[in-house]
Amino acid sequence: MLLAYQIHRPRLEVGARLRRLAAAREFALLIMIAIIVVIMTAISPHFMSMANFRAMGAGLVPTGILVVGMTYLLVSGGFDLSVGSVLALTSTICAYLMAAGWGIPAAVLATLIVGTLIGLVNGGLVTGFGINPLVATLGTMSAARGIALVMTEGFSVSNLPPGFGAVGNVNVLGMPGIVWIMLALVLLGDVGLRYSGFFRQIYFVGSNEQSARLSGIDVTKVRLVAYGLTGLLAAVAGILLASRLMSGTPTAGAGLELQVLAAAVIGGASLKGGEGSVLGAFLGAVFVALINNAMTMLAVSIYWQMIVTGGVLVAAVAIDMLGRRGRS
Amino acid sequence: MTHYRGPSLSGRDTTSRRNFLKTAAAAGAGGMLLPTFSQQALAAGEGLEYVFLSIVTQVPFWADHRAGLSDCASALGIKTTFTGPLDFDTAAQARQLDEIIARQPAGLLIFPGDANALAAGVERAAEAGIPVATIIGDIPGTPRLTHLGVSNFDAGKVGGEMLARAIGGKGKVLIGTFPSPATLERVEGYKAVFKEKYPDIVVVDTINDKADPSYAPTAYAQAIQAHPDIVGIAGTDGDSGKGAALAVTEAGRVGDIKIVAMDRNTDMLPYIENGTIYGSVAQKSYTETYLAVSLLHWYNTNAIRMVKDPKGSGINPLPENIVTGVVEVSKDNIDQFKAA
Repeated sequence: MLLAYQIHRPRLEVGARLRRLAAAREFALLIMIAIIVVIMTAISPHFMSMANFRAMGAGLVPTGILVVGMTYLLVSGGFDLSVGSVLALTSTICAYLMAAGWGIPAAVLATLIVGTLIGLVNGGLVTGFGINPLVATLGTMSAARGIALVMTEGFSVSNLPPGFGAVGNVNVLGMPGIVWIMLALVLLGDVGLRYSGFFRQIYFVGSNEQSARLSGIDVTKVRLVAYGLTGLLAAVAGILLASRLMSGTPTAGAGLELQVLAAAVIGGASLKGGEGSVLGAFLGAVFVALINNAMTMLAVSIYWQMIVTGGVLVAAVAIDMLGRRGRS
Repeated sequence: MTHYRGPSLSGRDTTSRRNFLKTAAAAGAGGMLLPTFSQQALAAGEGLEYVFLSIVTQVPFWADHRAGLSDCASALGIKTTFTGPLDFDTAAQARQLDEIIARQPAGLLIFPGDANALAAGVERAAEAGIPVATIIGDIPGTPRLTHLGVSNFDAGKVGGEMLARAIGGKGKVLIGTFPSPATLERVEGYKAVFKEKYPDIVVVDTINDKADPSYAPTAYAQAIQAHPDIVGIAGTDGDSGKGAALAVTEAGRVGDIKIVAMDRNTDMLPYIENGTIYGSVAQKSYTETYLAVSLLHWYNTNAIRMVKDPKGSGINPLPENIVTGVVEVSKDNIDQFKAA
């Protein structure tokens, strides 16, 4: 029986090849982002302003953080449709606890635990019961949203301690604190997936579960960690959102999971597993946020915006598929 | 070993990283030229733009508001835009508020989905010198210049009076709503009027029609099955009326069960005309936006010269709160509400 480290040497070639492909995708995204920025600056006088970048940056935070977890999950061969609902539920719980008198650190800690537990529930359903991730997370998606609505009857939770809003609204070097936290998490996530021995196993689990298992990787543990991490990050995003909005919103994030998936796929992750990078997924999220921002800046009719967003996603995935066929 | 251009010996792809850095540097240099492009765009000039940031923009309820916006634009020679998240996504509305502020419109109208989520954004708008008016729902404690609307609670009370008239002051009724702060306040208004003045009217249930025109008929049909002895249905959102009307018609109970609806979606009007719906309580939506944009524009142009320089001095010449009121739509005045 080969131990994981013994196959690292021949695997290095595959790893390097995959990384080169990912780098090409990240590079292409950077070019596309640059092109959009240049065009938007030329046609809209207010695009190139700190106020706009702040708005975009703050708006990007939930997707930017969720995409880190989603990438880990996609690479491992799973995915999670419940992240939007968990975001709403955790923002509601955090606000609820604080409004009920809990201290900020206690409320935050409790919320992070709840998020991680939900993630582990998802992981347990998939690994323990063998339920298809689509079905399992569809279930938690409805249940989580339902719990948030039962708690609040649709109203948002306010009366939060004033200090809590600092991280969401006070600017550090021009950007609210939450943006810096997002960037730090993206960096950590990217470095972790690229260089950490433990997390790199996720690529093996995602590309070929059988061989991964045979080579001694604890597939169940890797999967559970990926799901738990996604839940934890959803809770982080929920807390930061509550700080920005100074209220817990049970209705937030509807449809967000699809946007997060789209960003990750645009960034190079494959729905089949084994491929993807956090940096690429983040750039994908930036790309989508830029498109949305461009449409707001240009006052594109809201009814047309959905067509544009859908078109961009389909085009991005189609180009990805064509590229794959060309490579193989 | 100098000038080696073959495959990377260290196992890492250094050539593509070098290309990456080269292109990044070129892009950075090109970036220095960007300010010149935007100056040209600025010089091209832009008309004054007033933006109405709403929420759940996909429902037809906003038709009157938009008509008010565009008629006002023609009257004053300005530009108006209607925007906002298509569904009840309060986080997206908060994000769009900041993006719109960055666009520096001449004025902002906001219908807040969640007042708390937008409070910080309204402060930012005020700091950026953009006058803000709130429509229907208010964002208290912020520097908005004026608020136009009607208390949802009072709208519920008017509906309650109307339903009481329709059913003769007694009987069992059902209330249909969906969980948003505005509609829930209307429910409270109905209940308050029944409790105060019509103790013989009993509310047997409050159901959720999800403000979804395809689901509402089912919701009301099930409720009628569960409570076959009701004599009235009170709706609180734009889709309640038609939903209840369809359900009552299918159950063969037209005339037995009186319906009072809210708002005045066009597809509901035929049911008022043929009597299935007793009447509806509609806001003066057209007036709300027409008046709001006019007030903001007069403020911007210092036309309301209450003091020497209202805009410059920061003294607000506009009324803090304008109750635009409601109108009862019934068979008698239905012609006025139909599209031309």
